[in-house]
Amino acid sequence: MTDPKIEYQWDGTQWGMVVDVDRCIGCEACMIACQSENNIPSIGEDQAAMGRIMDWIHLERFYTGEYPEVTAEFIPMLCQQCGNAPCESVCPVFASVHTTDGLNAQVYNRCVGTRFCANNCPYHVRKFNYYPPTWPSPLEQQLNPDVTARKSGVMEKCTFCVQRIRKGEMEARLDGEPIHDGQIRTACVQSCPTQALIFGDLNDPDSAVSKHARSHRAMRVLEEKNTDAHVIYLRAERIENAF
Amino acid sequence: MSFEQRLLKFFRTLILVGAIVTGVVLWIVQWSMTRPQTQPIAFSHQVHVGQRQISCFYCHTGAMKGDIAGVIAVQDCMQCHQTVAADHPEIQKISERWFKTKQPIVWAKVYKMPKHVHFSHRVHIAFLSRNNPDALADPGKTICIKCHGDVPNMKVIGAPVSLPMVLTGNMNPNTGMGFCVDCHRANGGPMDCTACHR
Amino acid sequence: MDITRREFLQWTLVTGAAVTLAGCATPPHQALVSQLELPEYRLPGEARWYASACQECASGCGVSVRVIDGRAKKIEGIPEHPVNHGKLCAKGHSALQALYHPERLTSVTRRGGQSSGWDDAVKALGSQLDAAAAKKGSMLWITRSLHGTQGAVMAALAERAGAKLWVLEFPGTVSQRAAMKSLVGKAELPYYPIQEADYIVNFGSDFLFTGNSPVHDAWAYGEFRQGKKRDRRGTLVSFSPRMNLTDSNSDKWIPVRPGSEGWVAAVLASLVNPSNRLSVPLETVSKITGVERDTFERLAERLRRAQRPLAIAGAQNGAYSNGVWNIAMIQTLNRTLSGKLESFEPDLLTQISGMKPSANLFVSTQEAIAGLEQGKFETIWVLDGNPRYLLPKKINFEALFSKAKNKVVFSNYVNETTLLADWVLPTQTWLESWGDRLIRGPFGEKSEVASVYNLQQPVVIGRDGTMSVPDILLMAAGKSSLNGGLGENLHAVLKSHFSDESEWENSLLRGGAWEPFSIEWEAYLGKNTHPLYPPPTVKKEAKAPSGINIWELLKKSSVADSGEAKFSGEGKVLIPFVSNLGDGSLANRPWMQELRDPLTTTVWTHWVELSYSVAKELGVERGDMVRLTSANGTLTGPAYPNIALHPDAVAVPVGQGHFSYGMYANRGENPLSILDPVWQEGTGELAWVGTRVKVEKTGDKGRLITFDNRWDSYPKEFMPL
Repeated sequence: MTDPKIEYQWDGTQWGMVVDVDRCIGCEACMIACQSENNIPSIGEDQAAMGRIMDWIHLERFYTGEYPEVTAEFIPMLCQQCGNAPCESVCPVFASVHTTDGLNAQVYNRCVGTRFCANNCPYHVRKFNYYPPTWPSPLEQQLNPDVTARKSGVMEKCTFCVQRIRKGEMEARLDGEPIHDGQIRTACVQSCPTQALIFGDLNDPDSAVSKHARSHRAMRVLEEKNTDAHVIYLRAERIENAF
Repeated sequence: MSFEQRLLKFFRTLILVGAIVTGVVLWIVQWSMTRPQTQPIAFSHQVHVGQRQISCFYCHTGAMKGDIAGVIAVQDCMQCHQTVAADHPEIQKISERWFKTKQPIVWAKVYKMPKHVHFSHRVHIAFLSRNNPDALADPGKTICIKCHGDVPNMKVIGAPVSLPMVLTGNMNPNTGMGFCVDCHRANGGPMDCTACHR
Repeated sequence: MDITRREFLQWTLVTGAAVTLAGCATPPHQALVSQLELPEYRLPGEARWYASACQECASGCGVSVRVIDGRAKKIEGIPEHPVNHGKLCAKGHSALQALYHPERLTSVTRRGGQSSGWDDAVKALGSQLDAAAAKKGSMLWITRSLHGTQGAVMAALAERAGAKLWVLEFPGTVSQRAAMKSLVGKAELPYYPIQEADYIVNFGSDFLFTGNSPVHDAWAYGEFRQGKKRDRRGTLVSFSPRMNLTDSNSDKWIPVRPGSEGWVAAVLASLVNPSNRLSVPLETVSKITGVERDTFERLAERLRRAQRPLAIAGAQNGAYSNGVWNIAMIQTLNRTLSGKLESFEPDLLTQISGMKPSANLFVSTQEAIAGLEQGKFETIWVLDGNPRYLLPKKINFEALFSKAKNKVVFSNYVNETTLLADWVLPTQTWLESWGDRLIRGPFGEKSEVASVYNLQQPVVIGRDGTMSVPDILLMAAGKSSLNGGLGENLHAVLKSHFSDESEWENSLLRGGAWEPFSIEWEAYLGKNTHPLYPPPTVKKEAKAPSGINIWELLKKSSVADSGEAKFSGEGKVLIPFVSNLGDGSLANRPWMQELRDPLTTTVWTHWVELSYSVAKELGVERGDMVRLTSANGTLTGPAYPNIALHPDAVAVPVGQGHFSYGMYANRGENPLSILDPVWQEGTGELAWVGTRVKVEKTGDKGRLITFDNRWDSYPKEFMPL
């Protein structure tokens, strides 16, 4: 039983990302780049043992087959910035809102920590600060002043590096120049060695993301949930007979 | 009355009295915070901006081109004050820092944003001067006062903050979120949360 | 307790009022500071980007560091850089935590814990240098790989002091160099044009995760798979005993018995080009490797049809006692497939003051330990690395190290080796100090960049009390009679490489020089032939006729007596593998501890990988504690049944098991400590994979923190697999 597929139409800039699973090697450079850029805390061994790993992008590793015929895939999983987000409708204080340029914004100062949004997210990408994050001095010197360092009781998730988007837009406006494709990149996209991640405006038919999103390999994860995800994945191209 | 009842009555009175005392103490503390903050050196904006007509950007160098306005270095204060009013006791505090103790001046910040707000001066000054670029030569008259109040006439920076503003956790004269949103709404600025909250 | 409604309301109101009034809190204090001096062009709070060279590994990636108000905030790649093309790996990003680590050493410490000053330290070092020069061969320097001008300074000073240089690394590149020396006469690292290949056979080399140039190779891999200019997607096939990250990205992975990777390559070389004679029947090789005959034949056929096939060797195949032979065989296959063997050298030393280190400056691990046992070294300086952690317990480094009269350790933090030292000197990270890297290519999309010069500059002021290793050495040399022309500090030496000021400025802005090179550099590179490691004793340089008798080849070169890997002990082969913690030095960075292992998704703990069949045999499930026993120690750890591991092997990640490296690192167990000292043929280095261990269940349950079970319930059809 599947719902009829609804096509969503959005006007103006719609930020989106393409993830080429065939290029992704699972090196996790994106994970650390994100952690460095967005002041993501390390929670420690005990909290991790409770299952509370804190990251905004991570890799899901899938094994296929049985020994000795084993293959593996890595799928980077991050907030899909859904156009029809299951997390936005359930927040009682409107901390999870949608912007006009396609981002699912998390407003930390509104969040009261009901965790209903994380409950509703089918991708399990929302992470909660159960305890106040700590940075033993002088580790806090590394924190990025463009991003709010969250306290306990606040939900967080990938923001498509909104601080870079807003800064890039502001500078482009003040300089009087239009934003060209590839000028604004998220931290993970910038760092990915294999160029498996591409970021840009999905509504611009000439942008790299749009071109890749039209690939025959393109799909969205959990498409049947009808979330209008703005992250498009390109299937891996494993061949049946390597030799 | 039984022992139990007296005990309960005692506790009830205790809580009530405690609450009133705590409340009174807190109100007194917060009233004291509505007084203008004491600065390490009695710098007067009225003298420098109102009388001497020095441009805001001369000292607050980051305001026009960056996000944070900042405040000039001690070395730059000394450029004038090596000779100008060099025997004034407040100026001697600066000379002492420059020549002897080599300490930077830590001011009591008056116009503060909470940590979850990301504000860019550059964008706002560009907006406020968009129809009148000449105003940038003398921003104290028209641009900066829009948010910072009547600075050219302030002997001590930071007009007294009103008690209601303090009670709502907002120490900034004229810069609560409502103030920002009103101006954005009236002038077509971004109404998107992520414009300031990232 | 009976309570009336009225009383209840009164209680509620009173407590409610109390809570409300108490909740009026005061906002936090913030500061506004007039700095003492501020240049006019510096806007407060504005970011400035400084180009530098990452020194976390041998690759030499060019990086750009974002600095705000004198604090390093983010490290990113330089987009035009031919090595990393603007990308950066996890290790590079985590260097910020090394810089701002809460446990940085900030003062010179002497034995007994008392602090000392740099003046005393440098004077003492100077007199130790003089003493060593008077008695050549009585000083030992232990370090990790040397590169650039800072390496040249080290080598030059060691040469003058008559010191021996011991390069100790895990897993190390010596086996690759020895193999290349036997095949092409140059002890350089093999270069693989991955982005140009269409069919790659990998032999367990983890080139995408660790290795000689992971970021560059990963970039090349991206192009290999889905590059826009390609006519078809490249195919990758892997042979290894344990599926590592690179193997997990292959189209087909074939398990082989540990140590037999070279045999697979030898067979393939003989099948692809029948004039390569392998005088061992195919069935024998099938038995040795565990790979079926049919696999060899089909793959050889496919390789014959490929247009640009490539075979890749790496440190992982070189970690056995027959490691050099393994790599030589794989490179022989490579030459059979592509007709040539290319090399590159990431660890060139730039010349200083006309000094060229001699070949007998270096000692192998075996020679160094023999020397230590004989008590030959009066003074030992540990310039980089943590030898007490890396070396197996059987070698008893503590006792050997303690034989020396003067023990100086240069380190950023307290570690296991600094505990044994007489002098502990606090050093700087690459973000705070000068340096450079010279890498002989080829790099670039079409391999058109011949060489890359990376200039590393300090992006922040060094932590109070710290100094960089080359500066300490130059100062110490200045206090001794050995300086003469070496230079005052590294900054001065680097600047003297450049013929004019504008070239220096340009290099600082760009992060180095690669294209175009100035005339000076071209001439310079031509002269630059510094050997870095002891050239392995290869009696005969193997020529490469079109038909190679592989069996004869391995008999003639004394690289290995036979192609068989030697393992000591009994039981399963213990494979210590490179994890996110590198050689253990990254274990004190919380980001790296909390970064999931890509294949097992484990954080913070070590684990023991067993194959599914072995786990079933022992009745072990994920998380059950198992004990590995070698002839020289035991290791316990939570089991992780690994779907892609040869049943003859068990695997444990390297990096945990510190006991004196700080709050983040002191956890887990170290597999290197229980290794038997098995020596590699031809190099005198330790064979990291040479120990067999008994595996048994302890009956307890351990803590294994994994995160790979969250998407199990979703049907795979809905995933982009």
